[in-house]
Order: sequence, then structure tokens, then C-alpha cells
Amino acid sequence: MSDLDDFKATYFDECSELLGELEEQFTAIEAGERDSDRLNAVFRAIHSIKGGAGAFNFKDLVGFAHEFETLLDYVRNGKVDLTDDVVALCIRSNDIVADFVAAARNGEALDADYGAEEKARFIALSKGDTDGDQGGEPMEEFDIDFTPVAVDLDHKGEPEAAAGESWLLRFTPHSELYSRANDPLLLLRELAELGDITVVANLNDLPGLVEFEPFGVYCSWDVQIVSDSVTEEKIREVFEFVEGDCDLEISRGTLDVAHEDEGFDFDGPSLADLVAEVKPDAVAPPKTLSVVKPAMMAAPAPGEPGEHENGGARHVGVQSIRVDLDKVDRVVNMVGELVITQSMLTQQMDENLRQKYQELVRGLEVLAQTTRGLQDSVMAIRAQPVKSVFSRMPRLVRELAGKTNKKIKLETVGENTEIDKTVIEQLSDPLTHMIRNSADHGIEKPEKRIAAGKPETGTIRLSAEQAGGNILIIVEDDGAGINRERVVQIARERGVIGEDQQLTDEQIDNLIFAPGFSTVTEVSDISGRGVGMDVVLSNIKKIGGSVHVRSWTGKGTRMTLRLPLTLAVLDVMLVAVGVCPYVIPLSSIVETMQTARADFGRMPTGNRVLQVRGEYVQVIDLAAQFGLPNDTPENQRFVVLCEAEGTQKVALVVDEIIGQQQVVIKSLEENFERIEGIAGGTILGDGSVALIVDVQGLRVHTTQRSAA
Amino acid sequence: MRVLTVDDSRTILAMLHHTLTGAGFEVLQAEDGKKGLDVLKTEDVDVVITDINMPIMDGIEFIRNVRSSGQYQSLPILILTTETSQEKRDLGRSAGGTGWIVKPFDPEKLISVIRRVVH
Repeated sequence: MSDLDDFKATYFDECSELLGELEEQFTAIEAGERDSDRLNAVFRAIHSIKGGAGAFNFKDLVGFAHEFETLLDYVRNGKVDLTDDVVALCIRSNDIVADFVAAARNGEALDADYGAEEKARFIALSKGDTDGDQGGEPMEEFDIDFTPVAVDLDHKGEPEAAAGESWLLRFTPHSELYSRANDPLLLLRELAELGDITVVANLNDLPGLVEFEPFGVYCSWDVQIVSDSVTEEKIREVFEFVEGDCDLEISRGTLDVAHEDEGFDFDGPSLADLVAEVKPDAVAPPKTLSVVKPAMMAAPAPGEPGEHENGGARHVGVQSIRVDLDKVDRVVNMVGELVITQSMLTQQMDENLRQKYQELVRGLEVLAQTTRGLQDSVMAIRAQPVKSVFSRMPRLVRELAGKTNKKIKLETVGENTEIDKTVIEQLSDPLTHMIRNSADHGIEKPEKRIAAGKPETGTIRLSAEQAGGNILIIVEDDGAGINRERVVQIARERGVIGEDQQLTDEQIDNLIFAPGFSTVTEVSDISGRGVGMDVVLSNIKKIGGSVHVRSWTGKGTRMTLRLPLTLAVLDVMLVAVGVCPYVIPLSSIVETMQTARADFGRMPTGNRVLQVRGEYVQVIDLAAQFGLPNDTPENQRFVVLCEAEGTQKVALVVDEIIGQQQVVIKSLEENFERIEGIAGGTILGDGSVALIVDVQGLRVHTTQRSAA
Repeated sequence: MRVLTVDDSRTILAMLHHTLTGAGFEVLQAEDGKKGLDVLKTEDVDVVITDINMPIMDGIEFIRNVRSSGQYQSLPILILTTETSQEKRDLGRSAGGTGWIVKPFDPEKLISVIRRVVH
């Protein structure tokens, strides 16, 4: 059933959030923040997971979560001490809950005894600190206001009533019944569904009008039920909600007619008339004596369609709405265009025009401000705190610490920093890889750390901050730093760098991102997994970011991810090739220079290369590449030195550098077709189309061609 | 008939919504007791279904608040509880809860319970 699948999807979404929350709370609790807010939050999270699991009948999950919840309930009520041991148990159990959720999601079954040890400890802890007779149920102080009910013992336990058996009950509500909004009329109606009923209101206790209190309790009812299937249990079920709030006498028998007469022995005007007379405006004339209907309850009658059409749901008080991401993206794109048009207009205003049209200038300034505000607001819609990704990392670090026999603690900073949703989604894998790398290669074993005079526990610090139009995500460890000799050696062996190529320390450090580079000879269980850090780089490049690593021998390593705030708008350099405008993403540009000052050379193959600080870089003449005529003298052209994947550079020769600006990316694949070396298109302020150069694609393309 | 559902679990809210709208009720939603009170400030409802364990304002406090306002003394409030044990219900009832629904709820039972407390 698709409804059920929808609910399941909602549930699993919710579970992911709750597990993230649990992770976060337990991390804080582990760090010593054991206030009641946190304890309540973890209790609630487990409680919610259990609640939903019950709805879908995930029995294993319910079973485990129930005992976990019970323990957490004791902990929050101070009945079980939250020792480090218990915290460790909880954190471990959190992972087990996550596994149960994952198993439920994938429709798999875990081993029957999975989590049994932890479950047993919950029960032991919960029982150990109480009388042990609660059967694991949370124990709370409360007052059961249960009123014993007189039962005709002679009839109790008799076989079910024969056909037409008559039951008699006397129902005397207490004021609590009314104060909890129960309604005798509804109870009597429900009784009517059990069989033929005869109801007699007992009004003997009605006071005179002077003493009459509108909310006083004066009525009781005698009810006779004739049915062939009714049982005392069924009758009691009707009164389930009012048990303790009324006197209820149930017996076998028939209604005494004399009694009935007595019930109607009420002289004078009806109570309804009296009430209406006393307070004509305050109380609507009640239809029955049983309940005085307050005005607000009188609004829509049962079964009547609501005052809103379709009888559909109207969500009120919900503070958020769900919007299709495509719709948001359309707005983001249009706002992007608006920003660009606005900046183009501003650029067109030269001094002359400014003097001449001061009002226009002022208007443009306001427009600029509003547009920026609009852009920020729209970006904020897509932005999410990095917390959602960061919160998965403590678990990873714990796992890694366990597997590598190291002591590692994770510190997170700036988890409320917001980034575009798409960027966040792409962030999890690279971040996981970077942290794995830090734990595996960075942090040393405890013995080694102690020998080096460092604290036994290594620290990985994960931070996020906004710096201008970028978000910086930094993974820093206080480990041994990158072993440069080994990096160079391996890079040479694998042909990542030439035999006699001289590199700076920084360049060596960044070799770890080069394709096909991995410093571990055997693929380790942790960082290995068949891929190297180059995957990090290519993932980050995909979302328009860059990675940079700095390392200090014996002190640690810092990896910095620089990410764009948004994917919709790209910072580019506008260049001219022949008569055509092209744009090159600013994030990939290292430097620019005039061809006259560039140091070109030729390889033995005849390919032109550029020598930059001892490094030979492939040269691609964009005019030749794209087959465009150009009559710019060779020495008046420009070289744009770009960084492609890894540390590979490529020098693009263009005719002119026009300037920097922001553009909105348009997909070529969606609107036209894929072209090698072109990442997409954009429309410039003057309406002309410019193509976005795909530096990496261009490099691969020309390499293949020259190899062929 | 208008039903206000108060629960911090989206899953439960979604399931209540599905069941209740299916029965022709109009459904309003709130994610915690405080938001539930906000809804009641501006909206008339015929019955409230509330969870107990919620952040910001739990169900017990929510019910107390509703009952303490004269306007809502006879508004039926059903407590949603996973506890099969008596204590949560009694806590909810002593705060002024009209009845209870045990999660996971059976759609038919849910509707019949609502009919038991609302005209």
C-alpha cells in the first residue's frame, strides 16, 4: 500500500533526524553536559523511534528501544546514576538502534541476539535500582484515583448472558467527569450500541433554583440494557475513560418501573427552561438535561462537512511548509539573473550618467540593496546547517578509534554554519574520507603520542565557518603530519611526479589528492576501500569547491575545504577568444600573465609547454582548440594558468581578459548537447551567450587527442 | 469536525492526518504543546489529540494549560500514548485529559474513540 510506504518514508526520515539528534546529545553528555534538557531530549528521541516502529510492527526495534527508553526514563528521573559506564552503554546502544532502523529500512533481519547483551544490561540496570517488580516499566509517582465499584458478586463470573439477558447499571458521574470534558450523553449513546437500552434520569438531587449551580453535578442515570451478547466487560469498556470519575454499579436485572416513575417525578418548568430564563444569552437551550452545551462546542454539528471546502486538512500553526526543490531552484536562478542584470546596470553608469541622472542612480542603489537582500533570502531557503553532516562524524570517529586502537576525540565548531542543501548532500563522503584519513594516517598510536610528549588522546577538530562568499570546512588533527619523504617516493614510483621534479612542502602535501595516489601500500580497512583522497578532490570540484592541505611534521595536518555558498551562481573570469566571450571558473584559476612574459617551451613531441617555477605545464590555445579565427598578435595575448584535478595545471591561452563577474550556470546538456571541454553556458548582461570552459575536461580531451 | 493533533513525530502526525481526513475530519497540526496552544488561540476545534512526550511543552502541561482557560473546559482531549501501563494515562487524566489512545493505533478504534468523546 503506497500510503504505508509514504508513512514509512516519513518515519525513516524522522529516524535519521532523531538518530542525528541522539548522536549530538550523547556526544555532549559524554563530554559531561548532563543537564535534564539533554536527558529529556534523548528519552524523547528513543521514545519517538519506538512509537513509529510500533506502528510498522518492527518488533526487534521496538523491543530494543523499549528497554533503552526504560533505562533513559530512570536516568532522567535520577533513579539510575549516569556513570561513564552507562553513558558508554547508551552510546553503543544508539549505534545498535541505528542498525535496527537501517535493517528495518532495508527489510533485513539482524541476528536474533543482536543487541541482546545491551538489552540485558538495560533490564539489569533498570531493575537493580528499583524494587525489581515493575517488569521493566517506568515507575512514576502518581495518584490513581480509582474508586471501588460495587458489583453484584452473585452474578460475577457467570457464563455470558443468554439471549435477551437484561443488565442494569446505575451511573453517577462525579464533577471530575465533566471537568475532563467527558459527556454522559455520549456514554449513554455508546451503551445504546450494545443493545436495546432504556435510560432513566434520576433528578432527585436537583436543588431549588436558588442553590442551583450551573456546573453542579446533580444527575445520575439508571440504564437497562437488553442484549444477547453484552458482557460486563463490554459495559465497563464504554466507561473506560471515566473510571474513577463516576460511580458505576453493574448488575443483572430489569429496571424497576416504580423507580422509573420516581425519576420523572419532577414538578414545574423544565430545567432547560429555567436555565434559559436565568441566562438567556450565556447558554444555548440544551437539547437534553444531561449536559449543558457550552457555546464553543455548538459550532459544527457532527457529520456536517466542515466550513472549509473539501473537508480537507487545513494546517494551522505549522511553522514550515514543504516546497519542491525545483520551485526553489527556479527562484534561485531567476534571482541570480536579477543580480547579474543589476550589477550590469550599475557598471553601465559612468560618471557622466551619474551626474546627469541622480534620481536614477539613487534608484539603482536601492535596487542593488534589495537585490542583494533578495539573493541572501533566497539562498537562505536552500541553506541548511552543516550540523546534519557533522553530527554523523562522532560515530565515525568512535568506530575508527576502536578499529585502529587509538584514542581519538572529535571537536566540532561552527556546526550552525549554513550551506546550500546540494553542497551539504555532497559533503558527507569527502568529509568521511578526510576524517578517516586523519584517524588512520594522522593520529598516532597512544604509545607513540606519549613518547612524543603529546596527550595520549588525539584530537580531530572539525570546523565550519563562512569566509566571504565561501564556506570553509576544516579538518585538523594533532597527529604526526604528512610523511613527505614517503609521499615523494610513492609519487615518483607511481609516476604522479617526474623523477627530478622539485616540489615545495606544500606541493608535496597536496600530492595526496593526486589521482591514483595512496600512501598505504596495503589497502587498509579504514581509509583504503579502493579509493584515495583524489575522490575527495573530485567530489569537491564537482560542487565548485577546492581542497587544500597543510601539514606540520610532528604537529598535525590541516585540510581545508573551500566551498561556494551556492551552486547556482558562479564566480568567473570573462575572457575573449577571437570574437567570442568565454568564461573560466574563478575557483580553478591560479594566475594570469601576458604571453610576452610567459616562458614557453616545446616538448620533444612538439607540444607547447609553459615553464612556471620549474614546472612544465601543458598549454592549450583556446582559439586553436575551438577552431576560432584570431588575429591578435601572439605576444599580446594572455595566459590563464588553471588548476585542473589534483595538482595538475593547464595553461589556457586567450586573446583578452575582460574581467571578473558572477554568472548563472545554464546546462548545455539539458538545452543542447554535451560538448567536450565545455561545462555549460551562461547569458551575459548584454544578452550574449558565453560558454563556460571545463578546465579538467579540456585537459583530458587534448591529452587523449595528442596521444592518438 | 475539526481535530487538532499535537505530536512531535512527523510520522504520527502524518498517520493521524491520513486516518482522520479519511474519516472526513478536518485536521490541524502542531508539533508541541506550545504550538498547540497557539492554534487554539485562533482556531475552534472539536477535539484535541495530543502526545505526552514532546519538547518545549509536553502533553501534560499542554492539557493543564488548555483546561485552565475557561473557554476550553469542555473541549475533549485525547492522550496519545505508547504506554500500555496505567501511569501515563492517569497523569494525563489528572491534568484534565478526557481519554486516551494507545499507539500504535488502529484506525477504526481511533475513530470510535473520537466518537466516544465528541458529539
